[in-house]
Amino acid sequence: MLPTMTTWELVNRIHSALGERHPDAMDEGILTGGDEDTVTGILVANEPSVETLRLAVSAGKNCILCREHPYYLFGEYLAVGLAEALRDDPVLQAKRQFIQDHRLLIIRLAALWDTARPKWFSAALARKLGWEPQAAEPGDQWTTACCNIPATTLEELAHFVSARLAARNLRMVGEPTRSIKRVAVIHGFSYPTLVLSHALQDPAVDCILTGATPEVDHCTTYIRDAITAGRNISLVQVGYEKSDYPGAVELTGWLKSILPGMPIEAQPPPGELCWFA
Amino acid sequence: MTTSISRRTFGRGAAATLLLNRRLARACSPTPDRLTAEQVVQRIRSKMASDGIPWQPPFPWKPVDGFKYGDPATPVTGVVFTFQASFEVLKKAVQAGKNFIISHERMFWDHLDDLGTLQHDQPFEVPGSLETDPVVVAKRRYCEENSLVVWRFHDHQHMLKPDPILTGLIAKLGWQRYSVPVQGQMIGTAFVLPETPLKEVARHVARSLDSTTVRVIGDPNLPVKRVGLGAHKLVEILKPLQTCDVVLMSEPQDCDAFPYLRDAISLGMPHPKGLIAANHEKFEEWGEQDAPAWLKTVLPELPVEFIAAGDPYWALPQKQI
Repeated sequence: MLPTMTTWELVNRIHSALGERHPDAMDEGILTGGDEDTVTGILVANEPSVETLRLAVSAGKNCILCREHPYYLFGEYLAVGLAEALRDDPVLQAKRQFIQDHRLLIIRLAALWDTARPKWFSAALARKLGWEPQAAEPGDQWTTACCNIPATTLEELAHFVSARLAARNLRMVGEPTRSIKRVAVIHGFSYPTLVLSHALQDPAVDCILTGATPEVDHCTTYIRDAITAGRNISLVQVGYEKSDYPGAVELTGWLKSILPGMPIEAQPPPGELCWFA
Repeated sequence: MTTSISRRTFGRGAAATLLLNRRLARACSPTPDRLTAEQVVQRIRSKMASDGIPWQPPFPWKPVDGFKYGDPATPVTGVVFTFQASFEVLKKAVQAGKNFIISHERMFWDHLDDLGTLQHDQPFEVPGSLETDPVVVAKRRYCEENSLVVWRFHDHQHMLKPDPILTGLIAKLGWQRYSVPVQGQMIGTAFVLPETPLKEVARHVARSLDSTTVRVIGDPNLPVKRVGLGAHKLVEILKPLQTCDVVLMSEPQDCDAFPYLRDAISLGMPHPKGLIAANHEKFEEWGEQDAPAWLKTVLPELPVEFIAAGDPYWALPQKQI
């Protein structure tokens, strides 16, 4: 008989395996279902999209472990007023009904990974690109993973990353001929600007590769100004989901090591949602 | 009794010490006929008042407009209108001999907004904060060395009738004849087009806005008749998403609006069906191009020009869908 556990036991096992009990973050933890519900299998996915939920159902896994919120509450920066605005939203209502009909258990643990293993997702992205992330200094809580890479140009790097991640929708800041030898890899949504400012404290960093950044009031304009100020720096945005997928794959391997016998799989690589006009 | 005082207000009093620098002294030489930045702003406020727009109406939020850098008493050599006072725009302004920059968006990041001079602010700086970042310091030093004054014109500019930012966008799209008013939405305009596939609408937007990085969500062959407008956050585009075939949105974030669109399309919902995501600059910058002509009606004695902040991104060549 396969081992089973409740959602509460699962969350506690993860916390214990990470070495300490981290405080719960806002809009994270067990978001659907109850503490006492039995987990029969886990699908690891960054975004608990309807597509992902359908996959979990067809795979016989009733638990989705994810980084994002099933009802679009990404975080304080973007979600102010959103829960109220979505109260009668037909999309949310349909999704909620699907979750309830199939008794799905959605556990969101994003802050936990970034607190307990800050460089986990960024390092996974770097490894997916064939790079070796520099070992972290003790106490370094920044999610940035720095990598020395064979000398290249921004344009060459963009082509390489596009092919490696099967990502078409890269967006770059900086002259295409700009030289690159050291990349600060930052998974996900790089915000606020202080995150990029910290990466640039390493004078050798000449490229930041990330999922996405805010444009005008924050990160993208900062990089443009850094270039004008004379810093050799460029920015590559690979897409939010593309940047986090390697981390989900490595997380799946880690989960299997701490939950022997539990059926666990990572979602297949998500397709890019958008296309360039 | 204590009186709170911003660093900006305190710093203005200390700005006179900067005149020890000869270069600054030359640039700031008062002449009887040279208007100051403060006087230029007064002209703007007077013009708005004559058009029935009060300067400080009861905004439901704290207005962001005002002097953001430099001494308002600085004599103005010329005025630049721009979408954003990026470092590149500041350098172009100096090359053009103009020292008063009117910017629609912020000139710094992470809401860093209340600054005095570099010398004045040094005791207030927190180690590791953005104020100590070399890029911030370099930009501020450049402003001080060139006697630049930056004034933000955002909330009040949107109050002009008609909103120049919106009319600039509509004119650039060539959609004047398609625009219809809508109520209860962040941007009170939508467009009713002749039925057109989404891919053609999106390409028209990209060509019109001169951007190679316009991103699109939705079936390329989706028939589009009604286009809504929105900006920045999912919470601000929910209404047009529910009433239009596609929403043209300024600077969305992948982690916010995109998952909602993905789910709606997966569920086969009647709405929403699509999104056209434009850069913030390319959505709003066009209104600034007309601003010099607007200001010249009350400021004939100074040169005024528009300087583009430009599209920040480029993309790899793509096979067209």
